[in-house]
Amino acid sequence: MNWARGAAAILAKDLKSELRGRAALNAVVLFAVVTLTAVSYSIGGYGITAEIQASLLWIVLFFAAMAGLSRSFVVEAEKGTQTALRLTATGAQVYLGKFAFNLLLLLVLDAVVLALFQILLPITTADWPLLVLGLLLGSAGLAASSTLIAAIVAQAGVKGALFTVLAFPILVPVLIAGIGATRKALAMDGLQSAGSEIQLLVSYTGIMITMALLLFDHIWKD
Amino acid sequence: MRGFVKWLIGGWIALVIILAFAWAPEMTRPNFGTGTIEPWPSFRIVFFHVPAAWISVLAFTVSMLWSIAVLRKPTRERDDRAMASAELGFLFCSLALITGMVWARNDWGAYWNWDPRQTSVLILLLIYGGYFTLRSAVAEPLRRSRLAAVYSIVAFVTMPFLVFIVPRIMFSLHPSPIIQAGQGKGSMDPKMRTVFFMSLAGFTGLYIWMLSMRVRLERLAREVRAL
Amino acid sequence: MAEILLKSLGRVFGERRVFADVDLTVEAGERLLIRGPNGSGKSTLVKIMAGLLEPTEGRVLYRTEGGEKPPEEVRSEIGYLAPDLVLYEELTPMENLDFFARLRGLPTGRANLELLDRVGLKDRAEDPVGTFSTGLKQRAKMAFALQNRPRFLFLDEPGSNLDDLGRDLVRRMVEDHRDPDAVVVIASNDPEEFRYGTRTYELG
Repeated sequence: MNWARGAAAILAKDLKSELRGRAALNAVVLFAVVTLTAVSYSIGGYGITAEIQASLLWIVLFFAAMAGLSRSFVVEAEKGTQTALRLTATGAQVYLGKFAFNLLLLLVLDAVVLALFQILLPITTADWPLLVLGLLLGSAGLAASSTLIAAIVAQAGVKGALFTVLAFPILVPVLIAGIGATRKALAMDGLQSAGSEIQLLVSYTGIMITMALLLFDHIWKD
Repeated sequence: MRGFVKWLIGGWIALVIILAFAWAPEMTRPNFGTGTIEPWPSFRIVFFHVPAAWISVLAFTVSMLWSIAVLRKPTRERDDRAMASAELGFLFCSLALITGMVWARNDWGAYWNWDPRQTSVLILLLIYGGYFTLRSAVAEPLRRSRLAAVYSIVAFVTMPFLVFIVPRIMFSLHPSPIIQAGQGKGSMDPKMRTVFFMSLAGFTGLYIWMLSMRVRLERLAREVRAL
Repeated sequence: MAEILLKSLGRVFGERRVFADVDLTVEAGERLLIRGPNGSGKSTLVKIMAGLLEPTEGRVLYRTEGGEKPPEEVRSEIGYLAPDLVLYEELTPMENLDFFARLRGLPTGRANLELLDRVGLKDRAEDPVGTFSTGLKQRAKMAFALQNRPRFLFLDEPGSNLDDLGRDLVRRMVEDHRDPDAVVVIASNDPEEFRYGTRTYELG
């Protein structure tokens, strides 16, 4: 179980560093607040359908994720602490630890965005269990891919939009399934109706994590 | 020998074009509005649109396979092949997208419809774009080949998800799978089918020929730089 | 039984060749000194030996009781100290060492405090590394390099930024590794450190 302990150690370290700087959390939450405010300002007066609400939710999540999820890797590369990690940790430990960190970050983001939604573009009726399940699984999928792409981007050494450019096509399945599940939750279609979306999210996350574990060592080789 | 191949492929495709217009009968389709059978001339684009799409997927697969080879042993040759195939895939993907858009405009009135297949092809194009953006961002060749290879493999694994999303969406404007393997091949006239597969063979030959040229070009460029 | 074998080692960065055809065996008990002008590839060679960089030609093998293995499989027995090694600046040296101890499967807490004491950082154990001078950072890095009692110790310019007391620490560190079963590799341009080596390899 060494990989679990190592991953937990990396998660704990990242959380500790985050609490001392709050850089990722700030970037992510601030981005979500700004985006949501801008959007609701422009369309809040008009009634919006469940479809649009679902899409908006995931667009905000996606862009906020793009703003913050690459940090945990880029910072290690920039500051040079990567060498120490490479000497002491395995690829699996690093990926899983940072995946867990990004997942936690996303879950906090989910809560903030949902809360903001209730204030700005209220969700009146919804199948809340399905809504939450969709968000959880979608966040897992987002985190799994984003962490892998972040590792690649950190090694590329170039900042800017590279992360978003690489991540978006890979994340399309998550977005489509997430929006689908959320839409069905808002339309109260019932848990059964979102079966294929949920299946997709679960299998996507599983496959992405597997790919990451298989490929990570190649990303960190030099 | 090389010159001969070039003329063979060129001649073959020229033949396909002629046959597509002069020999293959015009496709028809039922007009649900008037209840009659009407001619569907724009269908001819299928002889070029679908092979382009198939070749772009083939090129993507080949690129991914060479990427796996790169990770096992990172040589310049393997990296050249992965990159060259991706370049060609990008080219054929653009062709598929453009021909698709022309066809869509003609038949459905709009260039873009967010039809699931159209969207998948667009996503494939974005994946190619990401691959090349990544390559241009990394200066050191060994690292570049490794990172690009990893991205290629990850992106390839995403494709099945996009293909499975397609059927889940209820309404699609896309012409129903007339060419799908083992299914409904009968909807196409045998002459049309002949032209179609001739075109597919031509496109494949074109791809293989261009791939070998591109790989050779890259190797020569490297030798020149080393001088 | 502890040996490092370098077989036909070469490294290229793009079009620039750093070195080629390095054939070398470092035997147990030896302290290898790698010398050469700036840019001759000392740091690159040390990195490849420590398993942090892949050679473009040839390979590195570690021969221990368990057989011949590549560096990645012997990581728990490797210690590395170099200018490009960086610790987490927002954490204290204790937090840094505890973190790496958890990853390495070593005890946390008191053992690390003693380690900090040995490098003279006990008084600053609870200050973030970011507040340290470069000399103190170097000492913290020394603690990191020694934490797992490595059989294979790699030192790249270990005395850089250190005062007399610090250099004395380096001397002691090298002497503590005077083990018939250990290997020390030092890359340096500092004449004072030349005497640490039992054998010299010239690059460039």
